[in-house]
Amino acid sequence: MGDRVETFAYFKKKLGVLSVDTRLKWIAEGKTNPTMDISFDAIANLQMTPASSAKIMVRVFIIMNKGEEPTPLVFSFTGLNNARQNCEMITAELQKAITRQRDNTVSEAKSFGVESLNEKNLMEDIDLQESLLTNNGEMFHTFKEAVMKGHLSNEQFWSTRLHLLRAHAVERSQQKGPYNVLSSIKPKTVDNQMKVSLTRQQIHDMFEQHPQLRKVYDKHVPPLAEGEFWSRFFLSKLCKKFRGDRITPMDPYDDIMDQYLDVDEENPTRKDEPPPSHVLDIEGNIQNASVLAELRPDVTMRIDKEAIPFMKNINQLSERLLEKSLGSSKRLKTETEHQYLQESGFHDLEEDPKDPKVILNIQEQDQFLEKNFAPSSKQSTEEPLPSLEVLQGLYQEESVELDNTDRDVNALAEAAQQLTHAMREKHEFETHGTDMNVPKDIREEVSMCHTVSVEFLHQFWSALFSPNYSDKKVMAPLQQALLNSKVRVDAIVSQAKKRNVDPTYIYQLVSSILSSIDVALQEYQKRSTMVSSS
Amino acid sequence: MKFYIDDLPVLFPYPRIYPEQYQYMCDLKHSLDAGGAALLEMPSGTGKTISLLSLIISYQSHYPEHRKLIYCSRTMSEIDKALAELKRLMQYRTSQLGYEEPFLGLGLSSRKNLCLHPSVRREKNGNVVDARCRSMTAGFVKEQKQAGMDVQLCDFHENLEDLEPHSLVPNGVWTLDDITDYGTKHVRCPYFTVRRMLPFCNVIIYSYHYLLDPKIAERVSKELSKDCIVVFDEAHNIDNVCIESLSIDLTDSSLRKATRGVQALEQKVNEVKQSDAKKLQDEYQKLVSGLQGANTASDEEQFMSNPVLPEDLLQEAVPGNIRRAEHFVAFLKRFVEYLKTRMKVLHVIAETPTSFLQHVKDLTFIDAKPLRFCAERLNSLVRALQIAAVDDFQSLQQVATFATLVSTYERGFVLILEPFETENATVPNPILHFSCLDAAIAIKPVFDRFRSVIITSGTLSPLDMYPKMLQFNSVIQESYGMSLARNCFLPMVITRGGDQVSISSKFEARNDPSVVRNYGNILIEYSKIVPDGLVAFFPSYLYLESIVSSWQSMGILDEVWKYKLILVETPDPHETTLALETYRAACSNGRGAVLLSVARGKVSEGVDFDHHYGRAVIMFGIPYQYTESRILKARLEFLRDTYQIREADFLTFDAMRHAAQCLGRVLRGKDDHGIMVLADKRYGRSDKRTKLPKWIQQYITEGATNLSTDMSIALSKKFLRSMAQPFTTADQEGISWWSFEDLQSHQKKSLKMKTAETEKHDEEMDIDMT
Repeated sequence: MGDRVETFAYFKKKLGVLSVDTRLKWIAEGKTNPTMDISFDAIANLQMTPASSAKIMVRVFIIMNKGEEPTPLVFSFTGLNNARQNCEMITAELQKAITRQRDNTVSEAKSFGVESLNEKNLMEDIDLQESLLTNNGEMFHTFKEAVMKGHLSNEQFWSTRLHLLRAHAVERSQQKGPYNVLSSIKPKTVDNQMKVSLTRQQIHDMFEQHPQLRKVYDKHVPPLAEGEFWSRFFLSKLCKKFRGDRITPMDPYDDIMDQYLDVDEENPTRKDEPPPSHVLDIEGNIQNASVLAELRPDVTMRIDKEAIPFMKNINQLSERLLEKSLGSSKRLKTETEHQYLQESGFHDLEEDPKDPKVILNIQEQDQFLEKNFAPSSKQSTEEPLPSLEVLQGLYQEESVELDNTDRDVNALAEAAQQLTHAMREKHEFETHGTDMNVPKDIREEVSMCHTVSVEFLHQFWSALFSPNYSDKKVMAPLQQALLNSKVRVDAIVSQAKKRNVDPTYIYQLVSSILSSIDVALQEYQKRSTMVSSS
Repeated sequence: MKFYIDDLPVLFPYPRIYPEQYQYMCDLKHSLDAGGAALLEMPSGTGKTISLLSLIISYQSHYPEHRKLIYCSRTMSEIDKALAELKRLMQYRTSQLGYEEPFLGLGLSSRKNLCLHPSVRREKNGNVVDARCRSMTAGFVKEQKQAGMDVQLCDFHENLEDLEPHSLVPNGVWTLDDITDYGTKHVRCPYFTVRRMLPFCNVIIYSYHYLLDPKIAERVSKELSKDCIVVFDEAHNIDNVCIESLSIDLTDSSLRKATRGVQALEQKVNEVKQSDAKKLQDEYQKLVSGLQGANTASDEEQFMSNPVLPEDLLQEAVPGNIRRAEHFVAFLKRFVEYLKTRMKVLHVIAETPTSFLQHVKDLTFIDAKPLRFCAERLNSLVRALQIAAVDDFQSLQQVATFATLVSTYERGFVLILEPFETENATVPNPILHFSCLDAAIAIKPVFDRFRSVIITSGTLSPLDMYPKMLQFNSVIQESYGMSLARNCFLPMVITRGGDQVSISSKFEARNDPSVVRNYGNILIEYSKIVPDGLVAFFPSYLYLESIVSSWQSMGILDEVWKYKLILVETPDPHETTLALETYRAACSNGRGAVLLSVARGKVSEGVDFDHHYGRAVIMFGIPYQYTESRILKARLEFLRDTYQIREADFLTFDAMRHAAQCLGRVLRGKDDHGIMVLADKRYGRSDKRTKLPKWIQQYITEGATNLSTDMSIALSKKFLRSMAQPFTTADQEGISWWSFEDLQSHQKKSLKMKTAETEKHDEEMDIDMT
């Protein structure tokens, strides 16, 4: 949170104090309770009179109730000392506060729920789809070919990739915890001078992680130059303190920074925190039985008092970083005995939880199967298929004891030969690849065409077997797309011919996909005649 | 599940059981039948506590003696965990039996931990809490109140007075939270509730001190019968507790406070002499007639009790020269002054109690006899004077305790005066250690008094060390292995860094930059690959502090910060508790953290790092004790001369038990997994490794005993990946755990083997006879 900023201002012609800290407040002169107390998220807009204007006013638009038009409140500074400066200061501070507020709400909204993973939301989340495509180049190519060229609609493309979208959504929702900024800034010594380069973000993070630093900065930076401040800071004991370094008498003295060394950042939550759980309570453990006086430990188990602060600083830094990522919860998490009981049980000694199986009964199963595969009436449909173990059991007599087989020299030699042959082929493929004569762009064309065709086939089959496949509107474009695929193959072939590549070779490469397309088209033909005849 | 061991039906609150749990219970039962001491080492995290409790509770309820269980543990955390386990067990028993057994299980901690009084509980120091509590709850305070004096009573305590003394709480198992909640609700003092209900408990769970420390045991555990079953859990450190309970340290400041205490006492005596001389006269008469002071007041109100063991108490009247209050005060004054002059010496002195007493006598004409009655006499006087605010007297109490101890024991103790805190110090800060060297002294009454004593822990290896040190004969002495369906922990020894330079925490090498850097690299590499929690232990606070500051300046911590949060154990307990909370929250939340801790510190005792709270533990160096310590040297000498334990053997044993203890923190249950790294080249030698518990040794492969950092990282990566594979019930059944059927078939098999053996034996006998 920012610091408190306040100044005099008129509101409805009355003089009062306008202040910005965690909320926007206006207190009429002579009163203690704020007349106006506005939270930042109610502020819709800000307007300030231009610098040239004689009147100096800020207009704050407030949304009283949701859905209503914002009402303007006007604070006037005209005629007050330093009016222009104050006005600018207030506006700047307000702007900062509002953006901070928005950032917070946005990040909250991003917080992740199960609802955001359902199909509808995933399909509508263009942003998510875009980010997945940019992260996955191969898919982007397919998308370009298939969707951008208009063969497939966007929904069709994503409908078969819901799982990828979901995984990506989960991945994106993972937060990264804040990092320790000071440890990532490494001063470099160049020509006997220490150089530090800082980014805006780093400064921002430093202020956030070390609120005290912000105070020091705010207090001293007008007199000190920005650069000087930082260079002094990085050499100072204060920096060492924040880093959790040990401060030694050898460290240089700095009249400004050293003032803040002993100022402990007050931690208001520490006072009224609940007592720690017994399971972790080291203090309680030490005082578990009343002992007259602790014996003094030997030298190695003592620590000189000077070392404790630097260890404390490391711990506090961790605590602060964690609080940032957990949200500003007062206490991180208190564990109770009850929780301990749950966590500490021996889970492997518990009975396995019941398998949450639901038996699905499919009506008119034979519709979905080829005629000759329909289960015979004898075979009960509820009976599951025999498991692999059962099958193995059935064929037990066939199993071969490897130790007891006869040595068949010929068979061994043959097997060895096959192996070496296979390995040689693999090796050759790996070193030379396929035919090197094919130019690179043709090869890429072929592989692109292959991927896209596979995509179409995928779409085609899933549409064909979906319950409403008879829908001509869906099927016709898909059929067309498949036909186009064949055309595209021809195009590549003719291109290849020009470049003196053997077309049969290209056909060889795409033969499998072509036959798949043919099968698909035939199947479609069959179905449509069946439907039309029935 | 319910099964039988011989004739005893055992109710075990899980449907499955680890094989070693069954073995453990069998041995436990046999040792209870036979009586005497048993020494059982059970792998960490295999449910030692629950097996112990379910067997003993079954034993209690089945046999007519209904032997009470006294379960001693080290820390409040462990007491609380044991209570929680007991509660779960009793819930299970109720559900199985169909009715609730009349059963009371309570846990006792200090006043400091249990107090509910709004102002007293805020006190930081346990002794202050004790003193303030006494000033509000002592019998005479109540009398004063009734007499109309302006004294404060504690409501929580007063409310107990109206209840029947044997039913302050309903039956059931009361965890520490339960009992304080109950106390808050009904405005009753949890501490006194538990104290007064101890005789009526079926199970008592409290700290070792309540049995071993004569200063407390006398008050708390006097009424326990011989039949009780005494269990020392996590007992690997029991010898140190024994020694500490009879040792005492005196410093300049405590002597100064003692002087103030004597002065206050003198003033009080004079006041009472003026106002109520009869009081002192009565006390004098009592002492003349040889009445032991203690029987007039109830035990729990005692200001202090005798620090010596019951059998060493002199059963005779207080000597004449300290019977009068003013004489005794003068006597104390003289003794404190004598101690003060002793402290002025600027060289180290080590002497036996006999020589010390001789010196006292030569200089001050104080005899050993009245010194021996010091504690008792002070107690009687404080009671007679009805002094409530005993805060001032804590140091005086210490001096009196010292006087009584030093004049009672001759053997097994040493007095060491160290004028300087460290070798290089120039300003004296003297300390007088009165150290017990013989752990057997304090534990002897326990072995003598109780029929069954069970000593158990995850790390008791080598087992024969304990009977030697503590002077007892064990009926059963057993170390169990760990049967695993997959190796769920990976113990490794790293002997050198990535640059092949060997690493060691040896004193000469520990600050060598290459060692520090290599240790740092181990931490960096492990924080990269280990998910969630990573715990690192160091041999001492001193080393922890120096290595952390070197790591900071070398940029090693900067590197670690990229992957994990960093938390450090400090000697400040409050700070450390907060750090632990942060650590656990960071592990649960996925951020991940490294905890830098000390092997003999407070975290290594009693805080578990199971599951994601500790996926790897790294032991940097060997946690040897500070060998230059004069007390340790004296103890080593004593052990060698008296019990024939070689110095090196003891030191290694002591270091290895602490190392093993640290390693064991990461496992709980066989479905947990963790990496255990021992980073010191000396672990590579077999004399170190053979002193690890059997269950760890069993899983250190020869290939993992001499690794460099990069090799260990490769192994760890592989291990973590394999742990991520699915692990089905079928894989585990019959190996890592037994179902009821497995257990039955095992029982049948072992019965068959046994009968076969006896038959064989019989046959042999036949042959002998013919």
